[in-house]
Amino acid sequence: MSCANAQSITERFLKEGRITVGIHNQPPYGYIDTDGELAGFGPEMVKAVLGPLGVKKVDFVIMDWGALIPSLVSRRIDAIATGMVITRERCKQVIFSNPNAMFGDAVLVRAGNPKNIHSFSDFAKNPSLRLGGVRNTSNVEDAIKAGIPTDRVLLFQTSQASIAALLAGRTDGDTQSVGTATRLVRDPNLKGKLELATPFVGLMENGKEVGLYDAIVFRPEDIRLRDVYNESLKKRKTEGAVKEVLIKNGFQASNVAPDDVTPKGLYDTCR
Amino acid sequence: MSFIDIMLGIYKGFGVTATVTLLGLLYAIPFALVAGVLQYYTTGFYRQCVTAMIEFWRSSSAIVLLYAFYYSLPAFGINLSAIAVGALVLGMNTGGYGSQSVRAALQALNRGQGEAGLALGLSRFDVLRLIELPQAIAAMIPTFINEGIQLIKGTSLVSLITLADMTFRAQQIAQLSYNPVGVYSGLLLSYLIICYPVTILGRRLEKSQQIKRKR
Repeated sequence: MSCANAQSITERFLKEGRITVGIHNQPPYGYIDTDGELAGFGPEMVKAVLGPLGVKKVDFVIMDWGALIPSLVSRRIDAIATGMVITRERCKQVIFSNPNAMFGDAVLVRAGNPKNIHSFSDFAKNPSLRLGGVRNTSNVEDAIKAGIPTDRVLLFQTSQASIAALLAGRTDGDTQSVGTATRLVRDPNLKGKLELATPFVGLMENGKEVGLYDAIVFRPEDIRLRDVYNESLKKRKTEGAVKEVLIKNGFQASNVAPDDVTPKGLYDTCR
Repeated sequence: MSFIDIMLGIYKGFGVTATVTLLGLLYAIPFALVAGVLQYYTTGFYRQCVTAMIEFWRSSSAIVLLYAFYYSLPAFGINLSAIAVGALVLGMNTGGYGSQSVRAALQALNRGQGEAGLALGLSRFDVLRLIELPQAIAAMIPTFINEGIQLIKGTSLVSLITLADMTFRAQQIAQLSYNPVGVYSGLLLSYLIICYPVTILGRRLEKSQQIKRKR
């Protein structure tokens, strides 16, 4: 399919009920479980929301986190559903659905929280503390916006690598989204080695802690498909289907994003 | 997950690793032979063209080429599958190195060999075909096997363009539970198990060539 003769994917979706979705193999957002089956919050959201619209086939493609947006823009996939949150920067390249869920940033520390870390500003203030995280994630972006100098933010390719760095003492804390962090703390192989820094204060803007809004990502030209998704999402939220998917993946009912939050309302760069 | 489970999980990606390697060889061997011979054979402008072609593939980083071909070409309306991109880039990259072994092997031959052929009235092409190449190919085998092994190991890069090869499977297993030591030693062993037999095969080929030459 070349750009010249590409039919709009909205048309194809409505006619054939077929869509290709990118995920990045990170529990609980989108991953292959021990039985080799696709699981996670993102894929289940796509199925729950697009299913009632007559979707017959969703092809999921697993890729590197950093490859998701390039793949979407270069038409290798039609949407991203793997816990990607709305940010000002991402809105310059792609469009977002209305948010499915709202999460916060979390920081993992070694057992017992030896450096007594409770906020991003603890890192910003203390020049001996180093923070780890996964490259290109909004968690890391928030940490930098909160004032941590970039030379003390170590970026890794996967959450596994950044956790290994934390355990090895290369970093003093590791920022992940709440979902990933909770899951890592419960991992039997990490029991007793890690804990969540609690209470934790993330990035503050105008006296309020900034929330991370997870949404499905589309190409700018597929605005109609996005609108179709939004309509169905609203209905599924009222029905309680969204809450169900969240709870099944280890989140809480309070993580369902409110109806009145829209990408446009969050950042002026969003459409 | 026991170590055996990890190894079995990793070998689920063996098919992709083997496919990319074999398709890669289909690019690498012809490219190495043709480009190496042409670089030896031609002069002036044509030689510069051949050299430019070799240098493009040999002097660029394989991972950068993979990203460029996989993510940039669709913007120009060219959509190659991940397998096609992986085999093309890794194969041509290896072929670029291989071409230099071909050229070096040809240059290492005593000049008298070619001159004797010409004196017998053979054409330049026949000299290459009947005298120079048979001796050069025997001399190249060790470096060719070396590059073949490099290609097998290099396929781990295709995990970055969405192909579920052995490295990709290992990373998938790594996400399920924190066990970097188990997963990465499993992966290390998995590549060793594939590459070592190739080394042995290479030694045998070398020996059989030596015996032939002694006769």
